[in-house]
This record gives sequence, structure tokens and C-alpha cells, in this order.
Amino acid sequence: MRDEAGFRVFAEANGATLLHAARLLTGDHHRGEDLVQTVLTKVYLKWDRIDTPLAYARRALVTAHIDSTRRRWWGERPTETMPEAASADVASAADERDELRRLLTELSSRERAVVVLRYYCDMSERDVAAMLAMPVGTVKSTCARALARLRVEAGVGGAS
Amino acid sequence: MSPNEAQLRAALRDGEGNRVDVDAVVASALRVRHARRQRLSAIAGAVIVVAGVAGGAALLGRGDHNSTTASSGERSVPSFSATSDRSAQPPAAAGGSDSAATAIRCPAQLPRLLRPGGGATATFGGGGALFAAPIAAAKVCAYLNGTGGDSQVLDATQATELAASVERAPASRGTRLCPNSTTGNDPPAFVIFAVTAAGKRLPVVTATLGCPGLVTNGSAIRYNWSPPSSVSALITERAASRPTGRATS
Repeated sequence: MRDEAGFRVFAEANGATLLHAARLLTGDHHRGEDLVQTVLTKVYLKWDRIDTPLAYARRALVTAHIDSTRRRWWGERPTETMPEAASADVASAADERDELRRLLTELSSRERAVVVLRYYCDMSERDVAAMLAMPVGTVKSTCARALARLRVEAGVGGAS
Repeated sequence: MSPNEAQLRAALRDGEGNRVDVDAVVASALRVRHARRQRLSAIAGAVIVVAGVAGGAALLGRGDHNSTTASSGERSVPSFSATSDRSAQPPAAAGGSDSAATAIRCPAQLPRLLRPGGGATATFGGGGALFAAPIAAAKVCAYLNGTGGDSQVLDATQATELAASVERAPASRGTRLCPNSTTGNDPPAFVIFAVTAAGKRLPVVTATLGCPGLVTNGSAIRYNWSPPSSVSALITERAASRPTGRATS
């Protein structure tokens, strides 16, 4: 690569954001690290051909995450009872933010991607639609549905 | 709790700030690039090897074709080219032995072969085999008074029988005396074109009946040969269809 220094600057400047977005998408600390490592490796290998590295990295992050959830042999498996679902003692002890992030993992991968891109990466609905290759209206409806589920779940959790 | 948008944003941002190990990312990317290049090199090498093998096989196949063409060209050269009748050169053998024998055209005139060994008996290899290889088919052309017309293609059994009868004939003339011809007619004669199972033509063999009745291929000779009935019938038919005496037409 001709401009390795440029890549290093980019990775140091945006690595933390990408890593946190990866953790939010995967809902897991280590899988998030693996995901961002994969994405930054792709960015490194294509650095000379990428015009907008951050947009490419975000798109690669979401795409790799959605692809990984399709591979059911190691992806998420639905269960009747969430391991951390929680007894009243734990719920009462949980911080609101932790509770919201836990509930985030219960969304579908696409809903989670929309929420993370929209509210963590501060992307507009149009940009999210372009990145996920879906209509803006679908982004709006998906986002609204995800927020509604979070509110309902949080309300149920808070009530319990 | 029923989160609003600000709470959601705050919850999402909570815990961020961990740095990425850029050196580890670069090292990982270099490993991936190295593995990818190795894979591409292996594929390119395999393609080159396959192309080389295919090219070599094509060249070998072309070489075999050329050698086959050359050898069939050699076969097309008439083995009785020492004869005086060049217009009677048979075409190249095509396909199996039967078809190769069928494709042979009989010379219009009886080919004259020199007797081996300067005419002596059983000398200079005159006692050798008249047919150098087992024959699978033969075409026998009959001549009466030096002119031909009738022919017969012998199958493997008949051809083998013919060859055996020729080879069994004595290689020396013996002490038998032959009277001088008083009619002026040439004795009945045959020309035998033998073909092997591979379709290869053997040197032509001529047989002259009567006394001393010699059979030769130019290098070996037999005397006092009696043809099998399937062959001698040709002469009978030929004699019945034409009057005896030297042809004038």
C-alpha cells in the first residue's frame, strides 16, 4: 500500500467509533472486535481505491454483520429465555443504559443496523437508506418499529 | 422506562472510547494479502501447468497424426513399383484389411518380377518368407495370356490358406524338366496383394502356373505351387470367358 500512514491516521481517528458500532451491532464485545478487525483489514487492502474510507468502512461493517448473522452455524440462535433476562433483582440493579443496550440485541440485525447507523453514527435516513440499499420509507418504518419495540420491552422490563 | 431519542443516543454512546490496535490490523491485513497472493500464484501455476500439459498433448497428437499420415503415404507407394505398369498402382489402404484389399486395383498387365538370386534356386534368401507378416486379407488378380480382368478378394481364412499353400511350396526348382512352350501363350498367372490386419500392404507376390510354376515377391521364390481351389477357379472362369491365344486387342 502506498499510503500506509494515511490508513493509520484514519484507523486511529475512526477506529474507536467503528469498534463501538461493531459492538452495538453484534451485541458482544469480542465479536465486535473481530468484526471491526475484518472491516479495517478490508479497508487496508482497498485503501488506494477508496474515495470515502469512512463510508466504505461503515457499509462494510453493516454488511459483514448482516452476513454473519445469516450463517446460522455460528450466528445468533433464538432461545425461549434470554440468559441475562433477568430476574427482578438483576433488572432493578441494571442501569438504564445497559438495559437499553441489552434490549438492542433483541432486535433483528437489520433493525439494529438502522438504529446504530441512525442514532449512533448520526447518519440521515437518506444516507442509511443508501448504505443499506433500501428505500427511505423502509428505513423510517424499520426505525420506528425498532424504537417501538425498545419502548415496549423497556416498559415491560421496567414494570417487572 | 420508555426511552426517548436522547436517552437512546446516550445509551448507544455509553462505553465508547476503546482504541483499535492499528498495528494488529495492519499485520492482519498483510497476512491476508500474503495468503491471497499465494492462492493466486497457486492458481496461476496450476493454470500454466494445465495449459502446458494440454499444449504438449496437442503437439503430440499432431505429431502422431503427421506420422500416421506419413506412414499411410508410404503405404500408398506401390510395392510393385519395379513393374512396368505404373498406371496400375493401387490406392492407399483405407480402413480395415478387407476394405484395404478391396480398394486395390489390379494392374492391367501382369507385373514382371525378377527372380531372386539371379535365377538360382534357394540362394540369396530365395527360401525366405513370401509374406513377411500374417495376412488378414488379400486380393488376387488373375491373368491369362498376360492380361487381367478377374479378381477376387479373399477373407482372412482364405488368405491364410493361400499364404500357407504358397509358403509350403518347395523353395528349389528340383530336377524336373519343363518342355518348351509350343503354343506361344503365356501360362496363367496370379498377382497377390496381401494386406495385414492393420491394413498394411505387403510386397506384391506374383505366381505363374505351369512348368516350373514359380511364385515370387522379388526376394523369395517358390516352385511348383498349386493354388487352392478358390484361387484356381478364377483362372477357370477367365479361361471360359476368353478364347485361348495371345490377345491382340
